[in-house]
Amino acid sequence: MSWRFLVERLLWTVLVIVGVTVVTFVLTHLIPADPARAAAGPEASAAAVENLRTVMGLDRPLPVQYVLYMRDLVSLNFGRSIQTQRFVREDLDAFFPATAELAVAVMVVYTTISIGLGVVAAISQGRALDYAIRVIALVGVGLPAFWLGLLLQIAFYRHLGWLPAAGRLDPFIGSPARLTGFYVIDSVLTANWPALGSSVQHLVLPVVAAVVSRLGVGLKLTRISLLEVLGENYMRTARSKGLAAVVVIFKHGLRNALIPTVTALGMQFSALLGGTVIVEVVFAWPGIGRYAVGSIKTLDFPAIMSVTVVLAVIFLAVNLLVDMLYAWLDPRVKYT
Amino acid sequence: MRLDARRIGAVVVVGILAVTLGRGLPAMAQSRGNVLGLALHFYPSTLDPAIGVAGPHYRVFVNTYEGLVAYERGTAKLIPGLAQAWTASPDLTAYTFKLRPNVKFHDGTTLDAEAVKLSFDRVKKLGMGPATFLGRMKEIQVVDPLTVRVLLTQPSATFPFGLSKIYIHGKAHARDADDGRAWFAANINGTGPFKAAQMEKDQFLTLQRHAAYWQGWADKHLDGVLIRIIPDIGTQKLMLTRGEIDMMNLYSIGPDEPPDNLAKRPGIKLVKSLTYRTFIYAMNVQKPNSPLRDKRVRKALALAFDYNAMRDIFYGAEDVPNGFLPPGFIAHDPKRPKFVRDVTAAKRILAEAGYASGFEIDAQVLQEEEQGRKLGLLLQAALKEVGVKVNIVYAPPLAVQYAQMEKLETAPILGAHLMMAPLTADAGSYIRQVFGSENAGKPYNHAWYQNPEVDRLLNEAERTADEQKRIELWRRAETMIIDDQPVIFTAFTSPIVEPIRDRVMNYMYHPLDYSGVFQFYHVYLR
Repeated sequence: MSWRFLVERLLWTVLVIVGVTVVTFVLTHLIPADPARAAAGPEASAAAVENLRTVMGLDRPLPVQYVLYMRDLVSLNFGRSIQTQRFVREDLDAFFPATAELAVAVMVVYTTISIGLGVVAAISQGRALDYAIRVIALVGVGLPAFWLGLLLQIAFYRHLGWLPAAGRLDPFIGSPARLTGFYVIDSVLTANWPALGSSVQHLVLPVVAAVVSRLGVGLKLTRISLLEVLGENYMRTARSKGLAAVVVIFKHGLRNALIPTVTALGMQFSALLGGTVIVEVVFAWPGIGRYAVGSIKTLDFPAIMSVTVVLAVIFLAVNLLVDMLYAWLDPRVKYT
Repeated sequence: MRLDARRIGAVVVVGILAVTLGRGLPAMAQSRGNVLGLALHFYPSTLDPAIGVAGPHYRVFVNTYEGLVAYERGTAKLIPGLAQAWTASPDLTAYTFKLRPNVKFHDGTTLDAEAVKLSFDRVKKLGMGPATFLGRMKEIQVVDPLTVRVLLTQPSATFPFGLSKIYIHGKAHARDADDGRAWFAANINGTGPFKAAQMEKDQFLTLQRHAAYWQGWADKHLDGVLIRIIPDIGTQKLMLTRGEIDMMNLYSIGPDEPPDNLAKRPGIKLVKSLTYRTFIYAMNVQKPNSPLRDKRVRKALALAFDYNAMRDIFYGAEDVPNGFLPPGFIAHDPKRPKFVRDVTAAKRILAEAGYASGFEIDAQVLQEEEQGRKLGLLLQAALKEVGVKVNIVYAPPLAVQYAQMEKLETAPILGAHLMMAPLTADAGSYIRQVFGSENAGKPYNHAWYQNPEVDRLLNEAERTADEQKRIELWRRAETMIIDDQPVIFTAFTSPIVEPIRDRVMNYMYHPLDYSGVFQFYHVYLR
């Protein structure tokens, strides 16, 4: 991968982000809404609402509002939320690590299980195990996440009492000292073992709900790609050389079969980092998805703009990462 | 090396599993000592008492802040709060409040007139929701360290009623460059019985006793309250069933299942409390080319509404209304007859108005709550019987709704149902909010109702010091509104029925609060 390619990609990234801000800004401001009234509250007088509109700069021409917003954005000043009157950066700082922690946990489990089961299904093609895995994947995709979440809560929280139903941590334990915002990592780094146990416990049910409903995609892609690769001549050659089956499948087969799976995983990861609203609501997970939905409902422009920009950056970064992974997985892939 | 890495990995995984599974579930409420667990749908968007006026804000404020005046438990009777007494000038344009001595803020500083002035001035300057309660205030003066005088722009006998919602905060940070917006949004410094102990945005908020609270801690009280933010009602119910929380916040409209269902589970009881809630459907009286501009048509729709069917939606916790002001609330007129359904009369009036074969209208329905959808279906079914076809349109988000309502051309013909509940005992400002001419097209006057005579009566009432005369004026205004029928008064929804853990004692809902606003000072655990 050449430097020129990277620089070009970064320039395109900047252009895309500017484009995203323009589109989001225009769309949100085209909606005939009154966020000043929503923020001031229904009891507020007309004068109070007008005053707030002026304070928020909503009375200025749209292009001026956009230029002022972009000027602040360059210095990473996301502005002040209309609803909360807090700085949006503080809100993002509070909610994004929660989503990122859940997303990473989901991806670790999801990647392991979907690729693992995909491989097992591929090498058992046509046998009962293959069918069983495919049926499980299909059922998982068909289960609505909110319903599955509720079932998991009823079984593992209400009846068995093994796992907590909601939140990131037992409030009576208290959050670990903040280093990264990821409770699991912060607990380990600060040797806060009760917090570690509690935070891992709280991750289990949301992770299971999020993984099961996604499982089919990664699993089926891995299975199909691997089946194609298993029929290639070089695989036959590897087997005839007397290599162990594990080496043949994982070293020669899986690595070449992973490109479509990596693409799908990359997209899933980006989506997860944008927040899984349903999982966040059912399991009371304080993530960016809930924050984004709340902001949209109240047309909190600074919050909507900021979430959009952050998510755009994440999508672009993950896409770049996926492209780099292609080159690692298949040395024939060159970017110039 | 590889083997070592695997071993290390295995040890880490086993360690995490041991720590995780070895802990078991968090302790249930019963074993959490004298701390009450409460689940709410939302974390308050701000903790600033000069900004917040919605349910999520008041759920924290009523336990942490106090106003100069207060309301007696479970009633609309005004009683002293941080002011131990007050007097009005003869012309009702000035009020003098004498403050309680030795009242401490959470930060240890002492309440004085300067703190009251700062709190009032901050509300006025920020101009957000609470400013409406200081609408008549011109200026606040410090008379001496324990006395403030409030000068009004016009005579008002009811000015003190709204001061229960002007919360007094400490002086620290109130003079910051941003008027303390950043600090008060995330911190609490009131005189209330509980102070903030730990806060995690959108997760939980822990309140603990304010040891120096002026009313003292001699009786049975809680040590603290743990407020968990649980957006999903199903999850809240599971947590209540297991005893991880003691109380939960039902939907604002009402329970989405018979409360008895939850009460059947061990450890849960039902608490019934008086409320002052009135449900209304606003009919836009000014929308061009709308049949609802004709008073006869509005009367006919009110006659066609099925009042008794409302009981099914509210699982019995409902009464057929006789007006706007509910039983128990100041100025309620028990002699006024209740509304009755009369389909024959409704059809006759519609025919007289030229709509014998009916007409078609859109009606907004709130889609976020199950009860909202049911109310829409009930309206549709009831009006169908008189030939009026109701098309259900889901209401947009609030910010869009407000913008739509402000212009007649975009305002809905039949607005989404409104659950109205007064926040103070000032019946005049409550009526004005929903039916005052100056509020036409504003958030509560969806009907665009304007009647100068109603305005005049309300203004006269505000200037009337004699309570009985004032009540008479409010009742006359209410009678006039009922005669004009800008809304269908669909239900008085009282009592409110709340499922709570049976270890929670001495809890009572305050009818001048929003749904889910729990006051914890008098509550204790068995």
